[in-house]
Amino acid sequence: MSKLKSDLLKILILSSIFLIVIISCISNNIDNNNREYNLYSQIMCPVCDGQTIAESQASISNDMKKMITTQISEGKTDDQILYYFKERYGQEIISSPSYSGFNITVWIVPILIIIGSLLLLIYSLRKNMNKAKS
Amino acid sequence: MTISSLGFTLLILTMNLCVYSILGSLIGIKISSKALLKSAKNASYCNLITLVFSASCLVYAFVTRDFSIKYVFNHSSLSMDPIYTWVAMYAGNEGSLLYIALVISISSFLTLFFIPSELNEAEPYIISILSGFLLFFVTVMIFLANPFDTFQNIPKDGRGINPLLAHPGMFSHPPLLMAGLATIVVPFSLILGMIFTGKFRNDGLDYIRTTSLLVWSILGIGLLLGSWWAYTILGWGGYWAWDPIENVGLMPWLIMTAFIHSIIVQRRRGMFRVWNVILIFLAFVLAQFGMFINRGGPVVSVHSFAASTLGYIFLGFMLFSALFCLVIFILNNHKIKSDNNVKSFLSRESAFLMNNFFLVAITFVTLWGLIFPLISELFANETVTVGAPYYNSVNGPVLLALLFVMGIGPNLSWRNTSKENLISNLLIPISLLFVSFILLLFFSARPIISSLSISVIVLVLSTILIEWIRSSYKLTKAGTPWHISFIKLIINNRKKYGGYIVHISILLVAIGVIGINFYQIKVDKVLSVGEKIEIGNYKIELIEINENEYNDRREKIATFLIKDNRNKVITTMNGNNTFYPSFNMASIRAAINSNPIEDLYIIPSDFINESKMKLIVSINPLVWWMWVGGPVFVLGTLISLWPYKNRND
Repeated sequence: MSKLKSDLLKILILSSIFLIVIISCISNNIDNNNREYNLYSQIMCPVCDGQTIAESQASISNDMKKMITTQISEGKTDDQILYYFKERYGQEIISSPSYSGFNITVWIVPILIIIGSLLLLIYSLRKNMNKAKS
Repeated sequence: MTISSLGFTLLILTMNLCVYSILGSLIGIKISSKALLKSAKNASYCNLITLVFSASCLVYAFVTRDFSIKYVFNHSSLSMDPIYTWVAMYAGNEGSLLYIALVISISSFLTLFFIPSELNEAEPYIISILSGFLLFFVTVMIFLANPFDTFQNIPKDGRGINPLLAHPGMFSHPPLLMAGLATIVVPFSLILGMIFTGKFRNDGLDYIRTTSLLVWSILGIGLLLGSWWAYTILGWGGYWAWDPIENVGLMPWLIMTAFIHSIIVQRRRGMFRVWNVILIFLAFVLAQFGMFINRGGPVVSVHSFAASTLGYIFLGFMLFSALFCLVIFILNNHKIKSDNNVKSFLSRESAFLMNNFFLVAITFVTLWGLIFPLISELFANETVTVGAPYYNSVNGPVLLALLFVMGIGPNLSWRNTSKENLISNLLIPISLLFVSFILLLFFSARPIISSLSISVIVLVLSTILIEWIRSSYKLTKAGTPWHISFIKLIINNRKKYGGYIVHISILLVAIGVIGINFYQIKVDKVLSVGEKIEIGNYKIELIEINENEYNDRREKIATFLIKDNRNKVITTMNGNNTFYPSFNMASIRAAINSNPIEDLYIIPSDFINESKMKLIVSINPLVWWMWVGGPVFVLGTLISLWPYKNRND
């Protein structure tokens, strides 16, 4: 492999990893233009299977939506509102695990494994290519 | 003889036929008796006949409303729309097992009927795998989940079908999805057969490609139809909710997608042999995992129609198939060697490798999210929910990387790509990528990731179009008009251009996903009859609310008049909220007015009184393209599967 190509490749790989990281960070903060919906879709309906209160029409979900609206008008932050529900229903009421404690593994493990195995793959390919050359 | 005992007897007959064809094939190989092998194959053909009749018995029982059968009683009723009695067969656990058994018998019939001569030696092994798989389902039905179980005292009326299933989607999504998952056994058995005969080279590879493409497209269409179904009805989290049951259908599809790509490399360059075996094993085990999750798994899902107490049986079967694959792999690993290695990163091979890598990565992320609640319960003693935010933010970037590879890959040559070629192929697409990205960055107020996704789509689309234009231009030089040379191009290179058309369909789906995820506008409002709301360019007036009473349900229908900015009437729309007292369940159908630019989407979420209701109105841009993606996907697959007259081509 020529020097130019290998340099190009390095740049390509580094920049794509960089992109992936950047994008992951950004996509967590997608602004749905609507604070209420954003909150609705972060809270699970306690009596339904696998639905958030944004989708559920159960009466408890409607009550929870009203509570959110009230709390927003009282000037509470999103974190405070989510905390309020977490206190009452436990962590499982929140639609995705938190970024702290054991739960952080849900985020870290796949990212580490993907990046780690990508590097491993590239390394082993390079080794093979070099072997083929010599 | 009653219809139920006839159906059941046919199942028992099927079980015996399966056992016979397995033993016949295996003994036939051992003592090399052609007659025995032939008879085993015929026994396997007979399964089709017995199962068609057995399934017909169940459908007949549904259509004639024979409530003496417990399964019919549990999944239909007198008041149910007759059209749904034809499909109620697969509305629950027992009947869907029968449906799956039927699909397996049809697919093994077709597989064996069209099998090419180069696979003759492997055929007995293929028959025993297919029959063994069928035997599992038939045995479960006979001993644990008999769809023909009867009552002593015949009830007058049944309990009715689950209201969520009374939807046109019922005719297509469940049967296709189940068929797709069940028929992964076909390419799986073909590859096993070739491994057992020690000939996993290039013979029969075309046949494997054809069957896997078929299986893969059935599964893909099944998933997309499910998406469409969930979109039209409230309660399934929109077009895709990363619900566990959706995920277990998606994972085998992703692995099959990787497989149909990497099999090309094996065909062209004799590479990736071991990897292909791993992929097909993985797809098969994941399909069994899906069966387990669907029928009594430990996770919560919105799709609990086929839930049963049989989870442990399917878990057992999944573990057995995983172990089986592992043993086969370890014993035969040394026989399957590749002829070549990847020579350069800038080669078609390495692009396929990256495609496979990202597809497997998405599968892993999905699987991890699916099982994480169990891990957390086990190690941290805390119940958590892993919902859409996790999947979107971890899978999103990987999907984008995959799309990127889809744009670059087809421009690389096998073995190695010269610098000149690379520049001439990619210069325009890459510049388009940057231009569109910068433009979007300035003119779109949405998150950067949406601009990035759109520009990657521009890249992929432009590489495909440029290649089309260039190649048909070359033909035009010989004097043919360009539209004819364009069609000729596709006809003469069906595999390649069929693949491109499938790529375009994936882009269409991606466009829809981007539209709804990043450009959706949504409002929540309480409206009385005669009142209006304005959203986007629409003025929506609630004209009337009607209430209809049926035997099994109460239907409330809201009618809306839609006008545009200049008060010109566009259309009227209906949304309904149907309550089923016997299920204590409401089924809410959204009112949708769809066009290529955007969908006006009205959910009648709650009827407060006769003249007042709560609405959720949203404008979902570009979703139309997602559903257009379906037919384009089918078209592309068909083109690439269409057989050549000449085998030399």
